[in-house]
Amino acid sequence: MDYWGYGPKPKRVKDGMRLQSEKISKKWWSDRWLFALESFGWKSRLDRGLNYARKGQVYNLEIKKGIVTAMVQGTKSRPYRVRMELKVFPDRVWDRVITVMGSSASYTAKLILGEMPPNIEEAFLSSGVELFPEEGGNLITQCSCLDSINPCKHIAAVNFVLAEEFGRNPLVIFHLRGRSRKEIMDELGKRRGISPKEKSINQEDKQEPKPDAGEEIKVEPLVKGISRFWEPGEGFKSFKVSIVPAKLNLALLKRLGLPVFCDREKHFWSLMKRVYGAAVEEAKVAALSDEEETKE
Amino acid sequence: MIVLHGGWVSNGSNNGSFYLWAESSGKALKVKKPSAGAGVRPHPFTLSAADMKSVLQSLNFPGIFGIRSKQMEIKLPTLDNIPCASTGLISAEYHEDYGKPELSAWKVNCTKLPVFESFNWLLHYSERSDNANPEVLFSGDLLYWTRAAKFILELILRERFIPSVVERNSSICGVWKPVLSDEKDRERFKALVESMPPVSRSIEESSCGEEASVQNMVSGFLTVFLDSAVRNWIDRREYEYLENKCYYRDDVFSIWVESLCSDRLEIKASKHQERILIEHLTSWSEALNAPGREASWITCFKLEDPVDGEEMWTLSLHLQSADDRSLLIPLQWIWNNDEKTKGVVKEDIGRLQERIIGDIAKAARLFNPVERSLESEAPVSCALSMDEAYRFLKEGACLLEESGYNVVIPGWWLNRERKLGLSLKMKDYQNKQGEGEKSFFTMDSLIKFDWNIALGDENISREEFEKISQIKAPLVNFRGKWIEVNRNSIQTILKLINNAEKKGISLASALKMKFSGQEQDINIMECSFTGWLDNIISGEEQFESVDIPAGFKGTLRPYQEKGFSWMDYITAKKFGVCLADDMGLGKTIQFLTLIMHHKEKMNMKRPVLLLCPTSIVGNWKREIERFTPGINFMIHHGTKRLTGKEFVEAANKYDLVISTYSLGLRDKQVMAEVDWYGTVLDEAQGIKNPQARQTRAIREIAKGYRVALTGTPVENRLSELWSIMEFLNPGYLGTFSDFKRNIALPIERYNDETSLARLKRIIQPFILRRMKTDKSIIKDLPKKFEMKVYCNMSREQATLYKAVVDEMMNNVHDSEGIRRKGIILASLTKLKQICNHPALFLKDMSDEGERSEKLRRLAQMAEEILSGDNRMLIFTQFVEMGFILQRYLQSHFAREVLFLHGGLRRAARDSMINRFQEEADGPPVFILSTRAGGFGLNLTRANYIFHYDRWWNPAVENQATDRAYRIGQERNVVVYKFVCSGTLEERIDELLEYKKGLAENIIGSGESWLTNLSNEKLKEIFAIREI
Repeated sequence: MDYWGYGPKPKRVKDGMRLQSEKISKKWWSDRWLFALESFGWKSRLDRGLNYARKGQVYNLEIKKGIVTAMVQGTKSRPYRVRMELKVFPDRVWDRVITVMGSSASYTAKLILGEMPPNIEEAFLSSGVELFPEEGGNLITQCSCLDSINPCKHIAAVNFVLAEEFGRNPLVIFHLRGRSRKEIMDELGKRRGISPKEKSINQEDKQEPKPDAGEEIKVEPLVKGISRFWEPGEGFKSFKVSIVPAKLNLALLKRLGLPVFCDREKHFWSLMKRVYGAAVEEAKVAALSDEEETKE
Repeated sequence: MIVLHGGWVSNGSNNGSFYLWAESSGKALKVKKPSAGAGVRPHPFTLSAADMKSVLQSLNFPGIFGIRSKQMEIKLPTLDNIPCASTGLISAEYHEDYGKPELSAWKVNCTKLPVFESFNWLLHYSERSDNANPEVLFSGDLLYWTRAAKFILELILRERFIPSVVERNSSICGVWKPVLSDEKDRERFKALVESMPPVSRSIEESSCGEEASVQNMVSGFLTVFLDSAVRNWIDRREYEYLENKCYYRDDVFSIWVESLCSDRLEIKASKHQERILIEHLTSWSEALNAPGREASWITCFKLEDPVDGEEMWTLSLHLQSADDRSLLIPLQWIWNNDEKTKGVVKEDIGRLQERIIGDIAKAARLFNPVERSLESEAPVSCALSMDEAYRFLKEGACLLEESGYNVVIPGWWLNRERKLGLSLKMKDYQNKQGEGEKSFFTMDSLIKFDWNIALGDENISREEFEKISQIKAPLVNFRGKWIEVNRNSIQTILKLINNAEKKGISLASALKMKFSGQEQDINIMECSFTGWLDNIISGEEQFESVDIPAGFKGTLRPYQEKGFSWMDYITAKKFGVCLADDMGLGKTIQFLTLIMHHKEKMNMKRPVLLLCPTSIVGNWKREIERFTPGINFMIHHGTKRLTGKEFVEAANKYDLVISTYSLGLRDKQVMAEVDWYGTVLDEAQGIKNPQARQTRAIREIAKGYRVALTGTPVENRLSELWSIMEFLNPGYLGTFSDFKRNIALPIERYNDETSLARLKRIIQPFILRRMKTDKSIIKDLPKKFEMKVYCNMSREQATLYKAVVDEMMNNVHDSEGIRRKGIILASLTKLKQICNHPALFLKDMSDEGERSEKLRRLAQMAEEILSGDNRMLIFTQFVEMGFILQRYLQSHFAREVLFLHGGLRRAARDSMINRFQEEADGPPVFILSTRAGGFGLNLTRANYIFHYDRWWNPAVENQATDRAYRIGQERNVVVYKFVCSGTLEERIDELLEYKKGLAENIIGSGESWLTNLSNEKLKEIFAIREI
């Protein structure tokens, strides 16, 4: 059944933040976010936003401490402005949470990797708070549409897009609650005696991606090469290749793991196994194939 | 000759096309000095698009329909308004001035090749053997790209690539991207960037109009070629399956995969999706730029064997000092964080703790049991089951190490010797008659061995081995130590010991195991033979030297004596041998000594068959007459040769029958009827093509012992080597196609040193090669040695020669005085021209090598010489002959040949001499006219000198020789003087030898003495004498 059959279609948004996954997310914390909203009775209303999210009607999503803003394009020419506020935890709560986190290396480990620690909710519960929004309105939602029902489908759509964003960048949830990943790491470090000014190795801001080969390699200007215009330079003589296959299959991908946006783990690995297997087999054949022989 | 160039032209970053262009020597020779014109002019000797197509076809280019041609402007070194020819191209000396060339643009016909097809084609280029079309030369810059392509192949084989995205123009494309994070790969990338030939950069710069980024060019080439290869090789069914299965086809993952696996490279994505792809794939692949481990402490994982009686293995965590690898600190110290720790570590412990936790977390992704250690506040170790420990050894350790961690694993795992292996000892062979040692083997003789299963240096009994082989676990504790038990090795061992005991193992496969040290996946610790077989195979000189036969007139140098004894020892055991001494070390006389010895001591009753190229039949005759006149020989050659029964009967009356390779095919039937005592091939390239009919015919004729004589380093031409070995010891190197795949192609295409080393070990028992340059072995060699090379005449030469002599004799009869003198001198010149080449006399300038035996012989010898690191001079007194030689040798070897003659300007001469002497890869052949180049020059880079024709004045010849044989010469110098057998050349040469010393003064003044001879004497000297 076509949902849009009920009324006018919303206007198309160029480069809207269309949902990328069939299911919203396979990550438990995204589910947890949506579940938290569902649990206070929003389920049916949320569903109305799902198609908006799938269609890509949401754009300009911004996540700040305590505030989420986004634009949603509906049927009217003018897009709606959605704003959500979530209570930021006070310092003393964060202090307690971080103390709990510091008691097990696995919290730090996950934070360093940019992953959501599996037992994170306990850390907050033991400090007397809930990480995810609870019923009772500590999530305030507003939309510029005329719909009297809150949450409207626009708010719902933003929530789906937000949940997917959490799936890829889980630590944004902490940010929403008042502490960025870096701030948490700094505090954890402080407890180990690291002064926060010093930059820790694992917290370096992402640098410009370097080319695969590292630093710039200097070469002489062309005119200097006239005297040996046609020949490779000195270093070429010792340039050798060896045609021995890898000892370990898929080593690079095993090191990298699944790309974070990929929600079909089994498919990914079976595809890659086939790709690498076939490429290596064909490479072996191509390396030693003999066109003279095949010609005869 | 055509010189082929290749170039990469970028189109934005990570994109571009591969182009070929070529220079044609045919066109270059005809270039005339152009009038200076405005604008960019067409390159005067670039190959046309149509010609390029046929050249590519002749080189087996697989994608001929995908090529596209266009003109591109390329800046090339230019002089006098003409582009300079690349090194290697034969071009006329049209430059008037040898000034400094400058770069200027030319319109060049360029051909764009389809990527995947050119990748395959570049891979197949062999730096060691000839092209499919010997007229085409790969220039240095194209060679550069062939190696770059081979580097890509290596990256694919080693799985050093990942799926990713690149931005091209304004869109993004899925791409299989090379990963060069390994130290060695980074170095090679750097080498490629730094050594790119300027011409390749010039193409890029001319097309993009600014200074090219060489780095971008190389990474663009690598990325585009690798991507194309992987895309073409992957199994699309998997992708299609995925596509069908997916309900949701519009998400990032699906569009990315589609772009990676299909022909639709460009990703049709919204900005939102592009952002997700680029952002996440960038951070995803960043993990490969192994965290710059400048840290002084590195997280280290150490696998420890289970303590006695325990089941679990331990993976303990440590910090290892980067400066002192032996310094391992248990992690507990870091968590304790006390004074002791601070004293040793000298770093901010808090930060270190944090980093270690991060390391462990990352390591857990690579080897998940590590995750368990994180359950504690202060992780120090985790316990592993045996299967986990095995997985760690097989995979985890390697992944961790690659990611920049250190790994310590038990020594028994690393120690290759601690693996299961087998040693084999040949059982003393008793044949049924109880006559003791078997007198000979063939390569497929089955030999029984005593065997021992070994684990390192410990032997394992059969019972123990069976016990081990029944355990299903991958790791077994044996006598207190752990070993890996692999199902396949157990199967291999069982099969081998069964054969060794019962059926026997063929000599060929036993030798293969011995020389490679392994059989499938097990080690062959030892494979030894007994008695004389051991002597031969171990190559140790345990054979006694044989007395030199009385019938040998002359002296053998010690190394020649050894060569003769060696041949005798091995051929007596019915193995074939190849004597591969350098040219000029006397292979002929070593072999003649062997025949003489067989005749005197071995009661040889049947004839030996010798096959050689036509041009050296005369040489053999002369050497036999001089050194072993006691050998009765017959020459089977020419139109009057014996046929059928007559041949067989006649042959049986002689000791030696000399014939040619071509007759080996034509007279195969009669030759096969003789029961030869032995079969010998001189200049074994007569069987160089393993599949040729001639080669097969010769293998069928061969009987008795087999000897091959060759001066070419055999490992340079591998199919020829196989063919020689197949003649000598059939079956030894396996079938030709196996040999090609497993040994020849890896060596030829990829310079595979392991295969080359193994091949050398395998052939070593049956090949003896001494080199002139090897002064330590051949101490008794003179520094210069001269030799005459006797050549026959072709039929055309003989006919012409006879006609000129007849005409001269007619004319001299009726003339006197000056006129008579004139006739004689003119005829002398004509005859010398005919001996050199009919074209020189007829001025018909079709100079194919078939017409002159001298030229053929020269080309053969030059081929051998140029296969080593040698350079040669060729002197001739006829300028026209110089041009014939230059043209012929250039097209024959597809290499530039220099020619210095009186018509050249000083600057041109100096540049040639300079290039010959100084250039690292300069032209190795230098022709000089005796008049213009016979004195004054210093050409010590040459170590071979040819006098193509004779001056009849030893002083002039010596002076020419001394161009190379002089101060500054570091190698021995070999001088060859060419003589046409049966002609006046030989006659005058004899006279010179006879009157040596005395005659020098008389004859030395020139050729006029000839004019004073009587008519009878003249006829004696001039007329053809039958060989």
